[in-house]
Amino acid sequence: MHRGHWLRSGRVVALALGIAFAFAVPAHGGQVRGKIAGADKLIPSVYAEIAKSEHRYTWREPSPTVKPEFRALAANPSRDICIAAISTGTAQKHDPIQITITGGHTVPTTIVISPGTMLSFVNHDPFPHRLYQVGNDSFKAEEMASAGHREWTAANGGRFEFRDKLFPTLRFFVVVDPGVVEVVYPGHNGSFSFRDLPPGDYFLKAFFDGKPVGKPLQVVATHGGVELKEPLTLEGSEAPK
Amino acid sequence: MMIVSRFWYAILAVLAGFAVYATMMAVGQYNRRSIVATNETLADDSNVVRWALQIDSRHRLDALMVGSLDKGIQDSLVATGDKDKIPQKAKDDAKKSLSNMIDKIPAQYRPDAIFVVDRDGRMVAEVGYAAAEKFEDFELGGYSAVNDALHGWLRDDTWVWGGQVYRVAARPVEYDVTQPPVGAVVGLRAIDRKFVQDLAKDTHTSVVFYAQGIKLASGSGVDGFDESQLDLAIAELPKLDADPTYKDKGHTEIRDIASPALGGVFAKLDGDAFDLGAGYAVARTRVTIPGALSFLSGADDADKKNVSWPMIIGIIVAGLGFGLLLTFMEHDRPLKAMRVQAAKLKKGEVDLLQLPQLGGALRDIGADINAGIERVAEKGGGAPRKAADLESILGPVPAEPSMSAFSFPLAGGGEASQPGPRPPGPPSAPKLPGGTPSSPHLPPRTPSGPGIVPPGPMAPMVGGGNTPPPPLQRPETAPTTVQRIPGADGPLASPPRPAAASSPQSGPISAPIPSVPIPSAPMRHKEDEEEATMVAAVPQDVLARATGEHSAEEAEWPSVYEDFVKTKKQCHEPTEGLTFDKFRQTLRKNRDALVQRHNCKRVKFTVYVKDGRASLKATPIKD
Repeated sequence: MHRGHWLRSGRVVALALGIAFAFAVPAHGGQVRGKIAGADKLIPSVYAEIAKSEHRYTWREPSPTVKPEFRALAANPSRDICIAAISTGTAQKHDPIQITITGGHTVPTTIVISPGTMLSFVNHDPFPHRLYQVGNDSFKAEEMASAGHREWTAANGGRFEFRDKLFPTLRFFVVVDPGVVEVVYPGHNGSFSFRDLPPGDYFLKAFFDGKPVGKPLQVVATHGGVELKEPLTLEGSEAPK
Repeated sequence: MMIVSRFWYAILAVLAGFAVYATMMAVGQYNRRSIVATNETLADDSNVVRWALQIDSRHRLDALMVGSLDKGIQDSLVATGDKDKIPQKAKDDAKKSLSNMIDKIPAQYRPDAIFVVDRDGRMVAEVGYAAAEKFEDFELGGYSAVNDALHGWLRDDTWVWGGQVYRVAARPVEYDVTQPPVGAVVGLRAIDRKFVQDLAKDTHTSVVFYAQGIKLASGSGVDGFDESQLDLAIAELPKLDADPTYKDKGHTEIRDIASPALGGVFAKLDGDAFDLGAGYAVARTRVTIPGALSFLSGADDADKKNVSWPMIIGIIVAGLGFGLLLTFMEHDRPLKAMRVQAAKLKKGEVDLLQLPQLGGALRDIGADINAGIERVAEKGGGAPRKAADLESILGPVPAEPSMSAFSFPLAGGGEASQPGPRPPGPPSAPKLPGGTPSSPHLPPRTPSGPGIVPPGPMAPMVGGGNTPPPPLQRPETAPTTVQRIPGADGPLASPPRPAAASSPQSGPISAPIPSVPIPSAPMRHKEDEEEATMVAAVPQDVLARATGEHSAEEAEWPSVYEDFVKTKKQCHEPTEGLTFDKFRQTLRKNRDALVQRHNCKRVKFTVYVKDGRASLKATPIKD
């Protein structure tokens, strides 16, 4: 089990999460590799709102040397798109998972966990944060000093949102699903890999902004490893114009 | 009466009152306009600060272009690739390039801190914010400005980090135009005192920045503005939560800060800080004056320099001079004429004041003085001073010779009178018993026995009036001589009627009796039928002529005639048809009558003015 920096980059997220969640499944599982498609259509709601707001900037203009297709505020797969392997049975709770707070958001911004899993929010900014759970007074806004941390445990299934009183761009979504065995985060090229998924039947689901996007992809994990022939297609909001 | 002078005083009083009124009105208008102007300026101040921040961001974005095009930064970002851990060499190269690049940015737009981030938003290098080095995974990719820059946008923003507000500029770093940006450069400029002071000076405003209810910095570019007043704006921040305009639109309307004397506008800073209670307030002092005198007490040297003293002095001198001129014309000059008359009277050059030389109320006073002189002379028992009024003899008919009449106090206290128009003058007195009106100039009657004929004063008689005279009382023994000047048109005037016939009163009347002109022809005709004309002839006249007394006496008459004509002209009376022969003939007849009546040797005629008309006064001389 790895705690701490298991979410360093999208390119290694799949490996890291696969290791992180391996405790819940028998060892020596198989590898499941695949790709996502349509991630460029997913626009984080916070940026879409800000782009349309009158009071979020005084200058916002496109760089003339950047192609228009690159200027879409598409999601960063390594932060914003969570691929979850959901079994038909009930998964055990995971070890505590660290959520890093830095740079005006959390890393990652969406996560899917099993009930009872504890999340540890760690402030890696040199200034305080005031994280709180939306609609739940049990996790009120309290000051988190630099390098400080707060814990939150998912009790039941559902969707939960966290925000920061001091940083309006921070929106963190937690989806609690009893069948979640393992999650990974794709890289910029859209590829992902479950490194040690226990053999069995799974549905691969993509989550974005705390909501499932696209159609789940059924996969049978084996000890020998599986290469998905079809990409996990994501369906989301249109890119802002 | 100094009518014009008093009118001038009234004008000055009205002008003074109007000046006070206008000044009081000006106070209200000034205050109202001052408040309106201040409010308009406040609204402009808020916009100007906002525009200045926007322009400042534009310049900062442009200044970051050197970082976007820096080869070292580009290479270091490419070197990070999609690696799980950023290579240390890439960090070092990026920091070196960043340090070199920041010196190329103009000092005015040089950021306090500058970051280079890779396409995931991870910090590769920084300059000016060492605290970020504490965390290896420190990144900026979650901020919308950085996210925009990583997607090919130029963006500004306002961040609040630990209570400190930063103006942010971010732009992409491009390596290959066929690829998305490899990263971004992000510059931060803290809103500190220097930043605010520069901004205030550039915009000529007084502005204070705040965040999370705490003052960040303030500055003023307005001369004379007390910067400490900006602290009062911070105390107003809790009230802004109840301001829907502030919450929705991001700025307040113009509002009072602590008191109506200080106005301000609060505005949120655009960016992430918009939701974090960060903003700025501009303030201005509303200059009002409490009262009209404050125009004087509040004036400074510049105001005093703007005053046109020549104009003010000119107005004062003109007003004073005009007032003095009016006073001279209406007061000093008439008084001088009165003084001259008094001097002549004192020297004996004249026996009475020359009323035509006097004006206004002084003429009435002079008339009263003349009457007083005559009264004193009468009481003193001297020679008879009363003169017969010959004005009606030679008087006022312009082109034709007129009837003349002498009127003398008659022996036994009666008074001569004659019918005819009553001259203009004092109003008619109440009628005496018997239906005879008395003159207001009539002195108290002195009872006297029958047969006693004191040398009563001669009453001047004024002719020319149109009002029929009242019948005067006279004794039967003292008929009034009424004669017509030869050559006059119309029927002859009726002779005087006996006064005693219409008055039961006896005794002399010591007061002068106003002369009465000859009545109009129809009236005279009627009276001719009712009353007999009494003409007294005295042989002494013939005797006097024989002795040569009259010759010497008449030798003076040409000069009297000249004086009389001259005086009539001065009184603007017609003199046509008044020849010396007629004049002399009339004087002879009247002289003879007086000599006979008063048993005197001769009669002296003098010219005088009464009620603005030339008259003759006959003085019997016994010696």
